[in-house]
Amino acid sequence: MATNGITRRGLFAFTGAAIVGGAGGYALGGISANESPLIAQPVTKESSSTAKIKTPFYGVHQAGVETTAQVYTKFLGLNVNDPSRDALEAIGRILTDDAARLTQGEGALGDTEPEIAANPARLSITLGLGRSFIKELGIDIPTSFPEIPAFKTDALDAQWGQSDLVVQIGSDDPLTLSHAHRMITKDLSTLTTTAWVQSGFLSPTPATAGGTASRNQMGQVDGTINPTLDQYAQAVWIDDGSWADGGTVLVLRRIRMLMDDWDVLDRSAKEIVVGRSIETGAPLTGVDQSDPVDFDALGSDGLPVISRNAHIRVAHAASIEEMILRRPYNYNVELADGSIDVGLLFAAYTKNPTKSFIPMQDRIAQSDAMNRWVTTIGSAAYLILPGVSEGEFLGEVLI
Amino acid sequence: MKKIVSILSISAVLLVGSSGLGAANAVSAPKPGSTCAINPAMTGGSVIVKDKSYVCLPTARWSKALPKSSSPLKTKDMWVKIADSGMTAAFGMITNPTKKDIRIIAARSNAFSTLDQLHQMTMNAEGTMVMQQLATGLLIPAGKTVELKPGGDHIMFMNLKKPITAGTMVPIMLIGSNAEQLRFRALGKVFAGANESYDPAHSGMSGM
Repeated sequence: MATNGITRRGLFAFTGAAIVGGAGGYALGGISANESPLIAQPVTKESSSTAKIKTPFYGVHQAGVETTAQVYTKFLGLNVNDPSRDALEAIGRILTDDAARLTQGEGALGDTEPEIAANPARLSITLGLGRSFIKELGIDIPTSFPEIPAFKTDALDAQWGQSDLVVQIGSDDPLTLSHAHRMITKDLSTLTTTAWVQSGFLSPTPATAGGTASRNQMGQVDGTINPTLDQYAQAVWIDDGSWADGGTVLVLRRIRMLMDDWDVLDRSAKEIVVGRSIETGAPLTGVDQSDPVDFDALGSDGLPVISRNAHIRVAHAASIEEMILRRPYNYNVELADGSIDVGLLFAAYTKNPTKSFIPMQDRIAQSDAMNRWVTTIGSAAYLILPGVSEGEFLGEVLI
Repeated sequence: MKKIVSILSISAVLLVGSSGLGAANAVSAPKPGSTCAINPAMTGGSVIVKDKSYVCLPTARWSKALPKSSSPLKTKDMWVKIADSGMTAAFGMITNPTKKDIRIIAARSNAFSTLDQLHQMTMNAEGTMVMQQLATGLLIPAGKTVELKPGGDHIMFMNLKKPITAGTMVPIMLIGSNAEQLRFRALGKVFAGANESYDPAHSGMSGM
């Protein structure tokens, strides 16, 4: 049924040893299949229609996590010039003041281009702290924020590595995003140094008629399973009794797509690798994108319809606690020689990576068929701080 | 040419100088009799230690409280251009919610600057902005809001005692014509503009 040497039997043989006894473990019932890290799920909206929409800044949780993914994003990796609680306070005060204004369509204090801020287009600005930075301040690391190990399939480039802070900015309007980016960089210029900027985008148009999902650069429809809002307490928001309660852990992975190699595969082979239809996003055991995956289904050849190392099987979460919130973006970087580097900014948000992201990524590194067509070249993790009320600043809980 | 320092080309300038405000930022807990709560929801507690008043922040930390304002004026969006030394300026909105005009005649920020003068920028016969001693102060008309902004009216800091850095909450006091005091904090922010030159040697303190 497949070509290019990719068959369900072949896939099984390819990494069979690594998943001995694994089939049952990945196919526990109850929870729908978790989706591919290569398949994003954001509900996107047309930028023109969201120009005046304001995402609330104040709240128990920071915006930019539950917030339906905006069409454009930038992640800023910042290092603190002189790490101290005073520096954190200064950064928190400035960023909070900027974010509270810009997200509500107002210029920042001292904004020389306040007119650009008038269309927030669902702008959100989110602050997270790296693990070693927290340690450096002499602050206890919450149990929910373990070190993310290196995975054997990673080919990490330090260029996209861990920084002291991350500022995540998202908007449906790229001009608004650019303005917020510059304002924040300018305002923090005496306190931080930019290590990297990772820019991402989504299609503003749903991949399927009437659907909410977007397509990634491999052509895959996303929009499968993420925690529902009522599952965020179990899957996303930290409540370990520490200062981080109300926050979450962001794992940001830069995943390069090996498109020239992917091009070699026929469509049916690509679908076997992922476990879903390219056209509809439906699992190979179903008809619609939202259909639950039947990991036990066997084909007429007696082999599982969803291959043993198909991506959706390997990445599947067996419980809500194992789920992560996927909020991935596409990246596309033009290289000096005229070629392009494309891939995903895979942003995973989780209550505790020990229970969710780390075991999932371990399984992926062990046996995911997709590994031949993607390479993780950047990885960093941040504690997204709890939200604040008016009069408080982000990070105040640590001062 | 005498020393040229930065200032803004403005109509009215309040020079900030000496006289009594406390430190800018929140400080660690005062000990005697303090009961600052650990519960983050607890706010509003206060204690006086050595004649200084402290308030409990939402994070169970103590902050040196600003003395209560005796002026009915309200401020909003106050910020200061950061500077290492010399001069700088503060901006924001001052609202007079009363039915009477209120005149501000002086500004102070003891923690950060020493010179205490009120100046005004006016156009001289040659078309140059010159700064003059401000005899009448800054008028905040009844029911109106006056915006202090780069290129317009502003509060002036002379002779900085120490740098004003980004993210610092700078305490400022404005004094009205009846000696009433308006106290607030302004956020230190990076700002590239507001660089018009100022020559203090010139009799009228000419600016460009």
